Amino acid sequence: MDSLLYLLVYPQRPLLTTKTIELVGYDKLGAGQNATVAVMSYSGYDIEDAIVMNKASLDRGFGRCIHMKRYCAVNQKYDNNTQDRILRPNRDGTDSGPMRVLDDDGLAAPGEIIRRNDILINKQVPVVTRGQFKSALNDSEFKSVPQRYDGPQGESCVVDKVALCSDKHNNLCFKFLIRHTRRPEVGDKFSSRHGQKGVCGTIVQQEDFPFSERGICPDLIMNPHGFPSRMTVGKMIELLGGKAGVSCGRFHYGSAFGEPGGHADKVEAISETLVRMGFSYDGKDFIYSGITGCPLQAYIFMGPIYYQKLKHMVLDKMHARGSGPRVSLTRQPTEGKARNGGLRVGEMERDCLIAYGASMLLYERLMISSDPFEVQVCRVCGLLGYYNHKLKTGICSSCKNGDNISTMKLPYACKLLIQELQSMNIVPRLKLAEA
Amino acid sequence: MDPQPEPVYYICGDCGMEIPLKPNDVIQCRECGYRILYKKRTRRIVQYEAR
Amino acid sequence: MEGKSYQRVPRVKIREMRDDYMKFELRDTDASVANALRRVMIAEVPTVAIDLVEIEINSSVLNDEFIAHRLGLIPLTSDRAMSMRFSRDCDACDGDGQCEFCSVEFHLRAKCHSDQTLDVTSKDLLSSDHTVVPVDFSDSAGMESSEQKGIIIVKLRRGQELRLRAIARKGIGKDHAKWSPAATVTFMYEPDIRINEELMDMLTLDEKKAWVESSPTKVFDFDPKTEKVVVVDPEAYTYDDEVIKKAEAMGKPGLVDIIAKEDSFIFTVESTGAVKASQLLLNAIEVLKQKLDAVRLSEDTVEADDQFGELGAHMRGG
Repeated sequence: MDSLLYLLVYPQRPLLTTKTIELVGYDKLGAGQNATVAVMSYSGYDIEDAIVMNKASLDRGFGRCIHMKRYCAVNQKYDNNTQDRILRPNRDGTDSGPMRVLDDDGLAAPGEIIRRNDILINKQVPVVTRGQFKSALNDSEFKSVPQRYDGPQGESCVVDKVALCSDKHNNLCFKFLIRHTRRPEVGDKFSSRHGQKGVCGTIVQQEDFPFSERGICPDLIMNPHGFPSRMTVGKMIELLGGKAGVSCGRFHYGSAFGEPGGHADKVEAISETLVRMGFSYDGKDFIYSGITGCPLQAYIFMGPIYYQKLKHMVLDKMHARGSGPRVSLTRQPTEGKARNGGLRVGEMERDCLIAYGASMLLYERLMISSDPFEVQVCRVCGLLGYYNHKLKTGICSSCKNGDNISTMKLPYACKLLIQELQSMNIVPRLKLAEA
Repeated sequence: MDPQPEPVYYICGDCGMEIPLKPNDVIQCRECGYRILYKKRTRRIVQYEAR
Repeated sequence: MEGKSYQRVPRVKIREMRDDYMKFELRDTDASVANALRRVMIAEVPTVAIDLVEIEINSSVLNDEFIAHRLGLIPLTSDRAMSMRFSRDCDACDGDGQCEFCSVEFHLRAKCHSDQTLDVTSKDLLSSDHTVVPVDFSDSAGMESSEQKGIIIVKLRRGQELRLRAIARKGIGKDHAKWSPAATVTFMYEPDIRINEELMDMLTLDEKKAWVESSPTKVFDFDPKTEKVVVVDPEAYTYDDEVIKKAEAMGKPGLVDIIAKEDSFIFTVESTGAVKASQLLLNAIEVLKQKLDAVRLSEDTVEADDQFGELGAHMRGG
């Protein structure tokens, strides 16, 4: 069972290929869909390569993908002859809501819809796992450790498959395949085959989208600013060739090497086909605005381009943290979305704040919000002391008295550095002056 | 836990046969000896929005 | 302003009409009205479509929500839709939105017993109301029966089974595209083409023929008897300026004058089959009327006389 699997719901073969693609068989992979693309400025949400998408196309299944993830669990056997066990779910207890999805054997049933915090396995772990041999255990010697589904909040996923097997130590092993059908939303990444990647900027209703006289409404609107510096001529040829292919019924080849052997179509030939079918030779159409009904002042380059949905979806990336877990060594916030981590203000960001002169902001970011730690420092020897709770004063360990102790706030990482240097026989003394 | 739990049926990965299993049984198909079993689809009716 | 009303009365003339296709002219009105009509036809004419799917058994190769999505997109005959209530507004049902006044129930049962692949199509969807059924696309029943078997939902192999119950509700295209009754609705501005006969007479025969050929669509034709260029199909003009550019290239700018008439539109309406094309237009006008009534009869309009001015009085029929 694959740990992660992405499937496109309605894959299509590309309208325009090259002979090389066909030789390798890449056109049979169904990596994307032929989207009708209009290259124009629209709505202002298409800046910096963002794409404007048609809501009706998304309703009809454009860009929909299925995300499948595997979750595992093992029934451990322990040295003292005890093992984990899976219990039949308690149908009318306090936990009956999250246990909704479970079948009679304590495992989630395939086909059920699960949400975040629903229980996948009703597992119980013995409290005592080491020590003396136990023969039979009663109910009180187990503690409940139900494994919950920790997918995105608010999304309903479906249990696709549940497999039972045994691992190499003959422990019972469970594997759940959870499936989530995802519709494109603002933030999902798309790309054509020419390195023109972009994120969905906004989703617009079909009646607001521009339309041509034949009633063709684009699925996607791409910003023309993506062309001048990138010079992706191949994309323009793909649009022309796709448009000609769709109109005349023959798949065209878009290779730049137009051999007389028929392995490529020249742009002139494609343009002639377009003219023959009633379109303009340059692939531009006369388009009306969907909002006002008036024709647009320029002809718009519109036609089919093969677009792929990339695996960077906003649902996997969106992350926020107010306060949360800390690393035990440095007492700083953890790193990474999976550990509910914070976002680092790194060295370069520090340089920017210095350039602005925002010293208080730097102080807040680097100390107050991260790892503030109060230390007692001796003014005489400059070393760190400790606070005696009974006497309610700070004492210096080396001077053996509390006469010259000042309290100050340091980042814990700094205190850690001081102590690590001390362990290496280097004496970092703090020289204090009046604030 | 009731004294006689009803056996839950699992499907063999190889031959597709339905095998009843009780808790603490060995995971193995009775016919072909395949060691991976899949759960059957839930009997409850699941509701979907057609969107 | 007393007396004189600048209100125009639009005229509609139907050019071509079939069950699912209609071409008509809309004259003496503004582009905003034409566009409003188009937008309402796409997004706000209500139809009936499957909204909730309860799947009992599904051992096909497509997963549950995939099949539910496909079922939603099947067009259902929606003549009842204008008179039906929205599920959320219905007070007859007991809260779950599934009573007979606001919804229609469908059943699908298919199991493949033979070795041949079984196609589960929209014809296998059985409705509880015979006026709301999946649209039948066959031109003449009996002929070409191998092709007109309905929209394929899923294909089943031997032993695979699909059993489900679906509830169809009233909705509009604005909510989800499955409720849009329009396949395409588009309009074009009618072009006004005037050939400058004096300049045209100055061209040679070959030049005239070349000029006629330069248009990608057949707008003009060369009549060999009179040796004149005539306009054969003004509506085929797609507002590409090819003929104008060709005239300038031949040194005769102003040879032809083409303007888009600002108050004359040619609509092409294609329906999905849920509603007849003509009925779609009538429903759209009805919905548009309802929306305008909602504005006209709202109490705010009286206070808003300051901003509406004489328009406010006009709206209230003054």
